[in-house]
This record gives sequence, structure tokens and C-alpha cells, in this order.
Amino acid sequence: MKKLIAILLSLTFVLSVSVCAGTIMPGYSEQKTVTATYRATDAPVYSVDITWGSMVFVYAKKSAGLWDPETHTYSNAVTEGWQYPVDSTSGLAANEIKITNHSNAEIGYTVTFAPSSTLTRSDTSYTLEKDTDTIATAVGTSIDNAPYKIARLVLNGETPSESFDVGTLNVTISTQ
Amino acid sequence: MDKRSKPLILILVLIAFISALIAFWAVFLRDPAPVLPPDELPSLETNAIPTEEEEKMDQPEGGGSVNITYSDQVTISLADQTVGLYFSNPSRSNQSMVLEVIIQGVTVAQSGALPPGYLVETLPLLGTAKLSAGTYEGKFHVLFYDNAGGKAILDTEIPVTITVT
Repeated sequence: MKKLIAILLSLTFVLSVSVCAGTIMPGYSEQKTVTATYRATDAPVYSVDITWGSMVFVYAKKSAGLWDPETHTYSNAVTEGWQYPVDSTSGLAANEIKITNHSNAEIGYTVTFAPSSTLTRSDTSYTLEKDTDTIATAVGTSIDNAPYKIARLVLNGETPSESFDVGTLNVTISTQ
Repeated sequence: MDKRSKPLILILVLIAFISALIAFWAVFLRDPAPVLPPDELPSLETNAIPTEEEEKMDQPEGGGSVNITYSDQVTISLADQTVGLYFSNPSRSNQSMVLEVIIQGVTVAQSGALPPGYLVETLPLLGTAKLSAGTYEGKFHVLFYDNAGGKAILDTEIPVTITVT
């Protein structure tokens, strides 16, 4: 009897171990040598530039500006609210996403925004301007004059804290 | 068999039975672990092909500027376990990329790093992908990484048609 039970236990153990060894474990991906090659056809060639600003925004408090004793007037008054500094190199504001179409076909785009938990918990709201649209084909245009659209992330309300993560952005490019 | 060893043998039999059940679940019932996009830039994709040099795009300070050039037609060979595609991160881009090919929420291929100036035409099919022949609506998921290797605030998705043979 003892021998029979011992044999059964051994068999169960061996089978369990060998079956587990063939399992794909978490985080492991089987990879093999690549041999296939993509063959281009006369299908459209999609080429899209995506440029985005720093997404670092400034919340300005209201200020009458600088007092000029010579003229008894203020200059450079500041209106309270969110400001989006413009980058001097690209000309793009911090809250802008520019999508440029270099394809030989029209494309569409949709921008979505996932606010950070800080922003979600605060009274600060957001809107996306021009978040979905189409962009004409680049056929008949020069490289420097390729068709483009600009979407904007705009914050509304006071800043929830001095410094916080805004969130993440996603751009979906679609064919028309 | 004496009376003292009987309970011990029963416990051993029970443990062995439970082990066999767990092994059966692991092989036949458990869903494969999802492939997650890397938080930091991985090493260079082994199938990456260098492209020609181009003038860099203007990049906003603290932001990013990239170009992606691609075909929306993708093929998968089950025999070769490969994904055939065309996806380029031209040298005029300012960020590195990682490309994922996704069907019905499952990542079937994931590239290594594609720095500016590299393209891919093939990727290995992930071992976790369970596919049958046919045409699928899938997508590219493109992640961007700055020069320090950190993930950008923005990512991109591109619908593609995937033919599995």
C-alpha cells in the first residue's frame, strides 16, 4: 500500500512540475527570429508631425501693473487667470498640440485628456479646443506649407496648488 | 501501515492533488499576463533599420516634436510568428519611440526603442498572442520618450487593419 501511494505521489509531482515548465510566466514573452518583410504597395503613405507644448502653465494673480511716477499711470496690468507662455523656437504655446499632415491622403485626429488626480479633486476644470477635426492631404503643397491644425488644452478656475501634474494627452490619428 | 502514518499520507496526497489542480489552472485556464508599455526607454529594437539623416524639427522647450511615417496595413504570419509592418521614426524627430501593435485590447507585438532615424518592418509576434487567420481592426500605440529616457506626457494611437495568415 505504502509503495503504491509513494508511486502515485511521485507521478503527480513529476506531472505538475513538467506542466508548469511549459507555462508562459508573467513578464516573459517568447521571441523568435524575424524573417518576414513588409512589401510596400500603392496604399497611402501616412506621415504626420505631432508637436506639443511644455504643458507647464502659469496661474497669474490680478495686478494693476507697474506704477510709473513720471506719468502717474500703471503699465503691464495683469488679468487674473491661466497663462500659456509661447515658445520662442517653435512659436507654439505651452497648451497647444500641433498636428501636421505630410500624407498623400486626408487624415483625422482626436485629442483626449486624462486629468491628474490633483486636477480631478480640485475645482479647476478643463476644456479641449479643436480636439477633433480633419486635416487635408498634403498633395499639392510644399513641405513648409503642409496642412495642419492646432488643438488646445485650456484650464478654468483657480490653481489647485502651487505646482501639480496636469495629466496626460492622447492623440488618435485616423484615416478618412 | 501503522495508525500514526495514515494522516500524514493523507495530507501528502491532498497536497499533491492541490498541486496538480494549480498546474492545470496555470496551463489551461489562466489568462496570460498583459504586456505593459515600459515606463522608461528600453534598449534598441533588434529589428530597427537606420534611415537617412534629416534636419531636426523645431521642438518647444519642455515639449516634444516628432514625425511618424507608417502604413496602416499590417500582416501577421502565424507560421513565422512575425508581424510585418512599416513604421518609421525619422531622424527629424526629437523623441525616441516604442511601438505596440494591439488587437482587441491585447498587445501582440511590442518594439524596443526606436530612436530618431530608425524604422521597423518586422517585429516578433508575442508568445502570449492567441490568434486565428482573418482580418482584424487593430491599432498602433506609440509611446514617446525624451532624451533622458522618460515617458512623454503625450502618446498616440493609430487604427490599422491587420491581416493574419
